[in-house]
Amino acid sequence: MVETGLVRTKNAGNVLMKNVIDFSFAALGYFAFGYAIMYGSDGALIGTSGWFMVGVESPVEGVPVEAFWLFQAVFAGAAATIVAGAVAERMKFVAYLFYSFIITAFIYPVVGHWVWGGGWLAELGFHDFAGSTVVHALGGVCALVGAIMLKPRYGKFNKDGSPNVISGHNMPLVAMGVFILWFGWYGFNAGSTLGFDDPQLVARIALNTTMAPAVAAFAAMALSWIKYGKPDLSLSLNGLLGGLVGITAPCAVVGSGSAIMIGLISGILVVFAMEWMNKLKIDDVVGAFPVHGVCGIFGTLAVGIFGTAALGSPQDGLLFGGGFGQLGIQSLGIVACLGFTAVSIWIVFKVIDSVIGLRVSKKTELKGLDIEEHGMESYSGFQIFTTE
Amino acid sequence: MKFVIAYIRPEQLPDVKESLSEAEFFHFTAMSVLGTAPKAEQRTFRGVEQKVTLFRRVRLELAVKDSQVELVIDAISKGAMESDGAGRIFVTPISDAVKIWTGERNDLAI
Repeated sequence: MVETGLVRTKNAGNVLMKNVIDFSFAALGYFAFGYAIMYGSDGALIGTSGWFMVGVESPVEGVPVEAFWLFQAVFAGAAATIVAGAVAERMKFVAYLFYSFIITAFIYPVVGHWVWGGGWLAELGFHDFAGSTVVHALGGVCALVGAIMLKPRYGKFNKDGSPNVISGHNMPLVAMGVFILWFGWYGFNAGSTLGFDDPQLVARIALNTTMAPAVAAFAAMALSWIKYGKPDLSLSLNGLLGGLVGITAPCAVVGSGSAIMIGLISGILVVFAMEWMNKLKIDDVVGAFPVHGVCGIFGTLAVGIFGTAALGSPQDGLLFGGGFGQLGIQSLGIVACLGFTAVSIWIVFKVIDSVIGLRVSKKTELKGLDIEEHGMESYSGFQIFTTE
Repeated sequence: MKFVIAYIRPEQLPDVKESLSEAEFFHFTAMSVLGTAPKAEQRTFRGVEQKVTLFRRVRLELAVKDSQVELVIDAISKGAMESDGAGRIFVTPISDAVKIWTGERNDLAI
């Protein structure tokens, strides 16, 4: 919904198709290959058994493996669909299909294995509770690489490099999408405890998952008000999401005071990062990298800054007397995971580009992907402008 | 004074806007309309075949002095020819024009 509302009417259906297929392929890819790579066995780099879910056992006592698989599969789908927003309005649908399957079946599971499946980062004490790096920064980096390789939309940047506004067509959809995401995030964060054995933990996570986005939304709104003269709805919504992403890694090991700080910084980062994208002339249509990439990285680092061993972090964070130890491990994990992600997704996109091409033709882009790629209009009967 | 009305495809609008701007015609009105085409199109929606006879078009209107009519026609054509040159231009006479704020009439109002 967020992505759909932020693109033009002529591409709304295409964005929705990409989202539908993301979860379809996440289910298929993660069932066939992904789960095996991520949880199949305890190798340092990848798991090697459990292909097509044959012979897998639940790694968590009391949780049936099917339920555990489902929980993990939606994380994979979430990572994949982050890219759909950044590459919107100009990516070939067929190219996207290939990308979507490969990321949920292979790339995401490798990183997930390193952090959650018994891989080398888990051994080192890297802590990413619900996936600031594994899901969000991974998706954000793929989005960034994709947006760069696809190049900006026609008309987004002028010859002198100044950006133009290509308005989203439906802010109510964006807002609705953000609220649905916030709602679902309680499942992501609090659900990552995998059980109610420790009600205190679940409650703390839920509280943090409330405070961080609330403050982030306010911070983004206030900053947009100060910088641009009026409180901006879309930046406030993106800031809210940034707060959710930022709290995703540290949600279990920080108190609510820290959660508020994390939300505040995340909201501010989102607004500045949006500007950087324009300055760098990268056309990230929905701000996927600012929200998921930048705040994902920050949230992961936040574990090493605000986390405490008393609440479950491997070591105390920088602001709680632990020095740079945990922060260092978090940084290492970020570099390793995102480096691997960036290189592998670059290869994937390059291969797809050389075989079938990544970007649609200029005519298709101007006419709109709904009618050109899918043969239908999302807003049939509406009197609308498809170009300006 | 003449009223120049152009019907183009939405995909041509960015190029036509640029060519009009280059010819220094900065003031016009754009409308989203539906228009016919020589050939109908077959589309499929949810498995059902549909014959589409009306397509999205953009209607541009601008009022110009008589001396500028040919310039406008050239400008619009140049922009439209950047793609496939589809479209029509019609010229109709205007009997009077008024700039509301100042009350100026005729050529001064354009």
